[in-house]
This record gives sequence, structure tokens and C-alpha cells, in this order.
Amino acid sequence: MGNTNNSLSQLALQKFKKNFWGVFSLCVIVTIGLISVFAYVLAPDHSQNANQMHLSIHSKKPGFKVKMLTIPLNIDSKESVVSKLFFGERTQVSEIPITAYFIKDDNLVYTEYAAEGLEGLTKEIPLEAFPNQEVENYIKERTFIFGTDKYGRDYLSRIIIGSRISFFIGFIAVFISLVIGITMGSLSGYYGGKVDAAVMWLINVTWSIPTLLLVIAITLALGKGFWQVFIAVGLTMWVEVARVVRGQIISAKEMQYVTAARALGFTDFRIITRHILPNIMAPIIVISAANFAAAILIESGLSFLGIGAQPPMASWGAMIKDHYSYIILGKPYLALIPGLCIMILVMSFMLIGNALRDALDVKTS
Amino acid sequence: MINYILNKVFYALLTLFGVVTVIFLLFNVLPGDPAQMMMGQNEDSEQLALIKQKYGFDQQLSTQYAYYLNDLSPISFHSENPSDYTYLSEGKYSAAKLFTISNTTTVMKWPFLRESFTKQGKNVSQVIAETLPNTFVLAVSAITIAIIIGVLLGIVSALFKDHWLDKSIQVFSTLGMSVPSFFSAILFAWFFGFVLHEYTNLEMTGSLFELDDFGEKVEIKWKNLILPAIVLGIRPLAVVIQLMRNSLLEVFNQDYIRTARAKGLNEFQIIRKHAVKNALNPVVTAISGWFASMLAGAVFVEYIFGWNGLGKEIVNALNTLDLPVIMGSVLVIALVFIIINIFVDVIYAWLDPKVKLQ
Repeated sequence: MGNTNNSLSQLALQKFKKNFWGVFSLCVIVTIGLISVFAYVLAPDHSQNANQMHLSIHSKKPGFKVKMLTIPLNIDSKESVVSKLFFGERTQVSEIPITAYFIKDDNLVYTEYAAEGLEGLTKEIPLEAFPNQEVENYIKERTFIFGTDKYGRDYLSRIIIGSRISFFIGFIAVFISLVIGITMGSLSGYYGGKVDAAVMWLINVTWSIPTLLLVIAITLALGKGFWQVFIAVGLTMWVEVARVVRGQIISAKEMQYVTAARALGFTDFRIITRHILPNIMAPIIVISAANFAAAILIESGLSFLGIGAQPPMASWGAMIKDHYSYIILGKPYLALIPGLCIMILVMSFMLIGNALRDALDVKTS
Repeated sequence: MINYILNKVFYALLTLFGVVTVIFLLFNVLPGDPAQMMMGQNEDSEQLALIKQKYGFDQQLSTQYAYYLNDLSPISFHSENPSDYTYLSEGKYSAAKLFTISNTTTVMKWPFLRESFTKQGKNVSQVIAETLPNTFVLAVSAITIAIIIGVLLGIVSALFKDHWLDKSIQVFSTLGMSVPSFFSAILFAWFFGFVLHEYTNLEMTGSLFELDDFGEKVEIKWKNLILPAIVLGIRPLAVVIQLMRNSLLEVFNQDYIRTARAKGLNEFQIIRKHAVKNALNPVVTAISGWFASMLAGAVFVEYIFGWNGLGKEIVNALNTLDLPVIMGSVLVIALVFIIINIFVDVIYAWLDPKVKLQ
């Protein structure tokens, strides 16, 4: 019924579609991916890095509600809509949690929110501070679905924006590892001899230093920061790619299609990129999925140690680091939520890796 | 066989040389001035010069590299001149003199990993010697837990393939691989050390050797080992389950298992006498690889449980930028990895002569 010419990739796709967990994790990954791209649209707190602090309402329980008075700061911002949508707004307002307010002689009198049992300070502000003097528009009830963190920032927003780093690191580290790994692996597998010995030596050296420690060393050399972590993780993960590519190329080299290409007088570069690489994509895809998961784990670990993304940037690992002492203060969710997020994302990549391996029929060695 | 071993050892030394070079390069292209780092806010230029001379920072990079190699090498050359970096001082090297040629003494010594920046006058080797055994105890316990439970669960999983039992073990194993170790450490410390503290009587933090309640005697507290060992074992456990299941399923398809069945052996005997032995090979390979990376994975677990091991020392050194300690620790862990690999290779060659030919 028209199903006559099934190419190998179509077959693999069919097989993949039948794998419930594979499809499920693909959905999860796509959802989290979309969330991370549109993070600032979705997050209740639109400020850059969701960094709007309200110290008076720090570490409140999920579902916490408070009246929020927004005072415009009259700062001219020349941000384009696009940059606001994707990189967040610079703070142009100051937000004050309040418990009560009334208007007296052109002044707004409000009582600041204070911890239980304490009387909040009462302050006055001239109504002129608000455009059109419609104060009601500037007082809204805010709900903090996941509560607030120890600086009184909206935890949900931090979680949403934190997904970006985890996602990014995966992409960039996998990209770097693929570029270096495929180059090194092809060179050593195709040419053999001294080139092979040199590359294998390099692989063995990198292999001997545990990934986490190597990443720590590279981040120390490059300085703290999130780009440095991206590069460091990429620089350690090429090894696995190179080993796989090398092994595949060594066996592919003996195939007749390569001999045919050689007989046609093609250059080595063309033979490798046009003939061999497309034939060995399957194991590379599988290992990239595993590397993606590994990269997320390593980044969260580095951020947990404080050498990954630096504050105020939101990163799941750093959020656990900031809040794990709260687990004995009756607020374990502050550490549990980001931890579960990491787990879900990593698990999705692992499951998708397994599903791809089954679908593409890759032998694990 | 001897030739094979020598070959392996030579290659391992070559790898080790590469590791030393990588570590040296990484830690010497640091943006900051390490001597200034040690001094902190102190701006005493005389002292700064002294420190630079002590660690050899005032020299060119290539000279520093040569000094570093000389410090690490068990057979090294030292000058008679007290102002020279390589001067054979008592405090620095514990060496046995071999011979002296024109002001240069050749000695045999323990590799010198230099002095810690922040622990006044303490050698890095000493720091490592104090902490590595604790990490070792932790890693060995973790791997033991992982092997015993992992092999058992793997067998159960393979026997009940596609049964709900198999599926739940699979879920558990995937979970184990996707939890960051610091997160599982926090979870375990919180749940078993805090929420269930009354029942388990375990503490959230604690090391193997602790002062007793009167602060007089150091005593061994084995119960502090339980939680960190389990947490550190989770990831290898997850891997062992997968490997054991897959390789057992493969073995079940072999002819000799069918023969054993045909002979009328019961399932239990088939598994115990025929299948498990042959299925263990890939597991053993994986474990040898895991052991060294566990030394590194211990970083988080030790940090959270307050276990006085090398991992906690590395985190401390990271916070105080105590570079010699980090360099030394990385080097030692890499060395352990390389040595384990030689052992595994040699054992394999001994078990299976075909390996040598490859």
C-alpha cells in the first residue's frame, strides 16, 4: 500500500514512533525547549534573570499571595521588544509588598509587608509618582506559585529561566564535542599509523583525568563564568565521540564503497565527509544524546560548587546550592524543585538516547 | 607476558606524562597571579618576591615546567646552591642521594607535590595521604554495594524480562543514572539523617574518624559510612544492573545454556553454574573504569556529608584557590585510574591470551 520504498531512516523513524518512552521523552524535551526559548514570556517575573528581589517576603511557601505595589522608576529604557522577549527587561519599577494602603491628601500611605507578628513600616508616597494618578492599577495581588527564594524572588520564574542554561550547555557542549571528536576520530581512523598513535595518546590522556576534575581545571584556567563552563565541558566530551568515530571509520575503510570512491580518485576529505560520515551517523547521534545528558549533569554540579553560572544568573544547580540548607528548616521544596527539574531533563535525554539506539540498531560496545 | 606488561607500563608512563603536562599547562595559564592569590589582600612586595622564588613563579614557563617535572620525578636533579629553586632542602624533599656531579646532586625521592598555599607549610602529599584513605574506604564500600545489589537485580531483571519486575528495575536504574550525585546526597541526608533520624539514628553529616563526645579520643564511626556509601553507589549500581541484564540475556541465547537445559539442570543451577560467570565479564570491565571516576564523584558526596576525604579537600581547595592541592589531587586520581587500567589489562591478558595479540 504505497509502503514500498522504505529508506533506512524511515524504518528507524517508524521504529522510534512505536517506542512509547522515546516519544514521551521527545515531547518532554520539546516542551522544556520551548519553555526555555520563551522563558521571559512565560515567567511571571519578566526582569532580567528573574532577579526582582523583595527581601521582606523571602522564602515564602508555594502559593503565597501578597499585594504588590509597583512604583515606576522613570528610567528610560531603549530595549527593543525582541530583546525584552528573549533576554528579559531591565528593572524599571520597584516592587514593594504591602499589607494595606489608603489615600490621604494626594499621598498614598501604605504599610510594608513584614514577617508574621511584626508591624510593617508605614510610608507615604506622593500620587504624582504614578502616571494618571490611578493608583489602583499599580497595586495588584501577586501569587507566587512556587513561593519565593531566599532573596524573595519568584521561584517559578527562576526555575523557568534556569532551564535555559541546562539546555544551552547541552547544545554547545555537544556541538564542540562533535566538531573536535569527529575531526580527531576521522583523522586517526582514516590515516592510522603515527596520526592514530598521537590521537590515541591524546584520547588516553584526556580519558585518564576524570571529567569533573578536568572541567574544574579548565574553568579555573579560563575563569569563572558560564561560557567557560560550556567550553570546558565540550573540551572533555570529545573523547567519547572520537573513540566511536575512529572505530567506525576503521571498519568502514575496508568497505567496498570506500574503495570505489578511492578508485574514482576522490580526495580523502571528500571520501570522509561525503561517503563515510553519513554511513556512521547512527552511533554518533546516540552518543550525542548521552553527552547531552552528561553535560547537563556536569553543569549542574559545577554550578552547585559555585564555579558554573554566576549570580544573578539562574541555574538549577546554583539554586540547589543556595537553598539546600533550607531542607532542615522545613522548606525542602526549595532544593527539591530544581533537583527534580534536572532529573526530568536528564532522564528524557537518556531515554531518548536508548530509544534512538534501538531504532537505529546501534550495537553498544 | 613480561614484554606485554612492560609495554603497558611504558605506555602508561607516556600517558601519565601527558596528564602532568595538561595539568601543568591548565594551572599555569591562569589569569590571576598565583603568588598574589596566596597573599590575599597583603601588598608586601618583598614577601611577594619571596613566595615567587619559593614556588618558582619568577621563572619562565618552560623553566617552571622543568621544575615541575623535576619535582614529580622519583629520580631528580638538585643544585647545591641554596638560592636555587631546586636546592635540596630538608624540609622540601625527603630524598636519598645517589651521586653528585659538579654541583648537581642526583637523588631518589618520593614525588614532591609542592606545598599547599593555604595550609601553612603543609605538603600536598601529606594532605592527600591524610584524606585519600577515607575516600578509598568510601569508594570501596560504594562499589561493593553496587556490585552485590547490581548483579542480583540484573539477574532478576533478566530472568523476568518484560515482567513488571523487570520494568520497575529498569525505571530504577534509569532514575539512578539521571540523578545528579549532589542531589541524591542531599535527598538521602535529609530523608534518612533528618526526617527519619529517630528510626535510623544516622546523622546528616559525619566522617569516619570523629572526636568522641568528650573531645578527647578519636574514634571510628562506621555508621557515618552508610549513607555516603549508598549515595556514591547509586550511579555504578544503575550501570551494573543494565550491564548485567543485557549480558545475561545475551548469554541465555548461547548454545551451552540450551545444552545445560537439555541436560535437565534446573534454572537456578543454570544461572549459578553457567550463566552468571560468563555474563560477569563486561561488568568487571565497567567496574574497573568506574572505580577511578568514583574517586572524582566522591567530590559532591563527601562535601555534602562532610566526609573528610580527598573530594572534600578538593572543594575546600577550590574555594580557597589552593592550586597545588587541586593539581596534586587531580594527578593522584589520574594515577590511580592509570594503575587500575594496567591491572585490568594484565588480568585480561592472563585470562584470555587472545587479548595480547590485538
